[in-house]
Amino acid sequence: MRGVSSAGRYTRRQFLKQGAGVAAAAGLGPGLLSALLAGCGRQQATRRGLRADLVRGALSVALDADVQTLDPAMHRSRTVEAVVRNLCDGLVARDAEMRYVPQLAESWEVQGDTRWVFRLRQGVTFHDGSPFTADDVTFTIDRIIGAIPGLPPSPRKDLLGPVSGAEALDPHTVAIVTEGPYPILHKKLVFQEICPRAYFEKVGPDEFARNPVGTGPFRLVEWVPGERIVVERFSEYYGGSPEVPPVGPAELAGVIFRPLEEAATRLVSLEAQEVDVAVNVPPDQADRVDALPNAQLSVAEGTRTHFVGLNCARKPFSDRRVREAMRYAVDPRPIVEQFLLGRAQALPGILVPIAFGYDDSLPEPRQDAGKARALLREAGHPDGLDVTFDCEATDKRMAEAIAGAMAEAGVRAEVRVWKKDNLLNQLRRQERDMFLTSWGNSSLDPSGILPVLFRSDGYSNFFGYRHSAVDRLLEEADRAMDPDARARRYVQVQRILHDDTPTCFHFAQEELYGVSDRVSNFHARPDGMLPMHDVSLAAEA
Amino acid sequence: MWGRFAGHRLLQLIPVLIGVSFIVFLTMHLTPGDPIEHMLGQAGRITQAQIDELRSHYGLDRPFHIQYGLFLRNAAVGDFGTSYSHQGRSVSEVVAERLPATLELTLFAFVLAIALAIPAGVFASLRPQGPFDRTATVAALLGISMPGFWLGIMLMIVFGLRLHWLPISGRVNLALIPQYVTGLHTFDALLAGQWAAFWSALKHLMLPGLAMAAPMAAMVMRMVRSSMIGVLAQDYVQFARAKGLPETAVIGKHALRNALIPTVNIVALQTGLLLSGNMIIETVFQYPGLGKLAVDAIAAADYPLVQAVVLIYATSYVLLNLGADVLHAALDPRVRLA
Amino acid sequence: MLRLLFGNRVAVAAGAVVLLFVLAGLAAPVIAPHDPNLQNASAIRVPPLWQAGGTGRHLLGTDSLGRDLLSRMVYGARISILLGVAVVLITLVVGTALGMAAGYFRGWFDLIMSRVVDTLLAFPFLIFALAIMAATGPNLVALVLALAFKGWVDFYRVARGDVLAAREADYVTAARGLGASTPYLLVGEILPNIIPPLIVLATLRMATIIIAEASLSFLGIGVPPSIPAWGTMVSDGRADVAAAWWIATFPGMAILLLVLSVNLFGEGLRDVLDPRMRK
Repeated sequence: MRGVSSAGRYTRRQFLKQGAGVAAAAGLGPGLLSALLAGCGRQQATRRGLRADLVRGALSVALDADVQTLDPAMHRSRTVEAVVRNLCDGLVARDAEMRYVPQLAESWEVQGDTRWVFRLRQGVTFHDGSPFTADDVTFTIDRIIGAIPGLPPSPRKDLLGPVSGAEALDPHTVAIVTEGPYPILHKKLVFQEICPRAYFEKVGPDEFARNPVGTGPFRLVEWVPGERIVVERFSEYYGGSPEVPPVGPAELAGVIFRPLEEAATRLVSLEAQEVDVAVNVPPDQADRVDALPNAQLSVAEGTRTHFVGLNCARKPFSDRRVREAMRYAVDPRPIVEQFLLGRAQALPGILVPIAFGYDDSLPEPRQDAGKARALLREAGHPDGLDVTFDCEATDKRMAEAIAGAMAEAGVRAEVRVWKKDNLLNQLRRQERDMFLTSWGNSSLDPSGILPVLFRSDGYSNFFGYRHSAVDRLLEEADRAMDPDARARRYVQVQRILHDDTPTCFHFAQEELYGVSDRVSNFHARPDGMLPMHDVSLAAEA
Repeated sequence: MWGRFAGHRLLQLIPVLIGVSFIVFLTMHLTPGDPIEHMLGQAGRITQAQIDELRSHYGLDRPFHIQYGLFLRNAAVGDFGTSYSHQGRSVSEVVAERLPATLELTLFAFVLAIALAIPAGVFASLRPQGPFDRTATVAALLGISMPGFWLGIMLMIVFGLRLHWLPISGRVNLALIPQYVTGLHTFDALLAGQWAAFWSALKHLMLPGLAMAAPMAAMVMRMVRSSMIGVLAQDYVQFARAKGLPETAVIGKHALRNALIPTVNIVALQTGLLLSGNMIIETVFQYPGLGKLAVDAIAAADYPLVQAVVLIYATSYVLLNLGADVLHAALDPRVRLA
Repeated sequence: MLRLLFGNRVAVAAGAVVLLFVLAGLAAPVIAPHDPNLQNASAIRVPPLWQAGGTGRHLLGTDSLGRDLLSRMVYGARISILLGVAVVLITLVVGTALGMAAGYFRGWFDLIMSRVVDTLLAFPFLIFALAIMAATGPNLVALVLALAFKGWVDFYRVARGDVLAAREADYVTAARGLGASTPYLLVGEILPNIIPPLIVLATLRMATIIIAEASLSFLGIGVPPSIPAWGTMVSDGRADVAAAWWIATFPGMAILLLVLSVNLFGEGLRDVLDPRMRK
């Protein structure tokens, strides 16, 4: 803005320009005001208050995170997915027991290794009344894999692995083509919901993110960011997967999702009957919630593994003996039992037992402080080890518990707490030495966690971990269509990782929900989804 | 004279806002943490090309002074850019959504503080060291010394959880949301004549409002009390009493007006603190306003959003002080406008 | 003067409480019954002594990791007071120096400073502190700087105003007439005369700083978690409020008591040192 001519004098033009700058700055205040007024004006059109019968018949859910978008293709958030899954159905879904069931697809078959043909359900309509066809499926797939120019890249692309395109064979048949064999395509399709091409092209991506339209059991009424998302029953719903009864429109008049990020506020609100379902109950509060007179606990096995990560590329953990010492420094079982009150399961490795390819032959973790000290001495740390131990705010208590227990083995860990994204970015840059973090794997397939964390080029390889055999085995497993061949490779990888110890102290927390006694048929699910189709609400006394 | 005075003070607003925005801009740029990384934080595999594309899309590849210049130029015409953490939505839109909630809470806390402080201060001053005065003085001391977040938690436990008198979260019973006019549910309900909605909105404001108002009520009460004691000892008050005017008239007409003059500045100063307190209170109560938005925006390194929120806080602070000065001058003829 | 102070019984009592907190903080390693970070898995959420289930081992009970609350609170006093003193000292020195310079020399320096001060006054402190701490993660140096960032302005304003007045005072003109140098005038003559109101202000600022630090720690961006701090403890106890009220309640009461005492003491001090400011 400020310019001095080469001769060192202000030219007239520059002088004017600078004047304009000052004038512009003078407008800062009024600018602020006008911007706000414009913003207010925009909203007014969309807010008319809510129908009283909808609010009375709606279930109220306290979410543990805010929602930034309602576009099924533009997020990587489990919370967004849980909300959007009620608005938009996918080709494939999972029932509460994590069995794969057809949803908008009726059936499918694999042709050759790289071509999957899906037969679509007929007579299904979107919330705007338009019919659901193969064209919407190809649009959805193309948008996610980035085959539609001019649209922002979807962060869900890698969830479709090597999918290279989709093709409408007739209005009710679609072929999805992959580059190379992709044995788990149907499992991965549960993470994608179908969006209507015509509506999207009419309103554009920004409006779609605010006002999505799908084929789901509920349709959006209003989204007041930071405050609530209100959805109502879609009376023309086709009924959902016939394999998951009951089939038909949803029981509830609607659902109100409210972001209450603090666990304390969620629980207090549940107790005060301001919400009907509170997600993500802290494990140490579970028994208390269960004992409430007006609510109970709903529990499912978790799919997110917490672990202590060690940076294999930097001192002191570049020495394998030091990493091994950490494995013996502390036993997760008593800590998990005492501090998470049994609401979590200590694991020998990174995979949860319900995951595909889980190796049940890994030795149980145990504490051997003497051995840990000996290993440390051998590695040149006769006086023990001083390390910083980083975690995000929600894991602070556990990190402190682990640090406390490690003291016996001569490890003095100083806990540091970060905001979630802040820590994640540092981990991606491989800047932290020892840290407590977690990785969710709701696909329950090792391909959703092992390559991401442990391949040399894994995008969340926080450990600077490089192992050529692991790379090769993971690559092979990705391409093997035979499930047994895949499982064998994953077992091998788990054994290597156990001996190499880039991670230790693994545990998986249960998924815990506080549910009001007014609610029936709500089931906690390992994948954290909140399908409300079958849920019902007792009339108020 | 008034116009020039206000105009002069408004002009002073400009360098302050530029200064404030510069400090924020500088801080956000000097501190580690890349907004692009935050944007991609939860995303999967990202190529360097995609990162570069985003960086140039948001103008983050330009030198600092250009970025700042562009910011000023756009801000002057009301364009605060696109929020990084609220996909594809403009900062003004995101801020405008949260503004009514915060405005309502702050106004409520303000009214609550004044409504508590002035009568309490006046009554206390009538009989210094009397039982009411002593109680009020102790209460005020507690109000000043109590951390807001702790008071908020205690109020939640007692009135929300144990007594079930007041709601803990949310802004209004959703079945009663009044037609959107101002976005302030209490006002909107009054406009529509919906008493149930008004009452519900008021109850929701009570706990966070009380936690927010406590320190301000305490400071203002102390100020009113001490200046009332001073004024009541003045000759003209004694004279008015001697004339046989009823005590209510003496206090209401003569004493209170003069006692309020020094109070005005304290009120402005305290309202400024009220604004800064709202971040903590909104976090404690998960109240969907600007304060909570600011906390979240910082965590997400959402520079444009942080900028706008900071500017709003700064502008309101300056305007408040301007208002106080004008009011002060209006109440006190001795003040020269300069 | 001391007699005046001692005449104010409330201020004396408050001073005694502050002293008690300071001593407790200093002697924390000696008087704390337990290591404040020592976890005890078999004594989680033990209630305070007088409640059913309480034990003499943990007078004020334990938190959700089985750490002794009393010990943590004693150590919490230490960090609160330490940070309070550090920040107040820094802001006192910086604010006084700048204020004296601005008041004495006037001119362009004063002009620039008044702009800076206007800007800082309008600046929402908490957002700034949040932004810095969110980026650096909790660390004590950044915390002190964030807390001091705006705090010096109050000292600046008092010092500047007093120097402006003192500049023309007889004792200064006399000293100047005797050929005293400017530095001598400022430090030797003026400073001693403007110190009392600054000390009163420093005491009252201390109260504000303690609350600000606790607020930041409560938000999880103040004192690093390895150091027990009251704000952190309230935050830790928040999720437990319904089941274990004592975890969040006691540290909050400690903040309240210390801040209250500092305020009362500061006000007593003001009545003695700075009759002008007496209301």
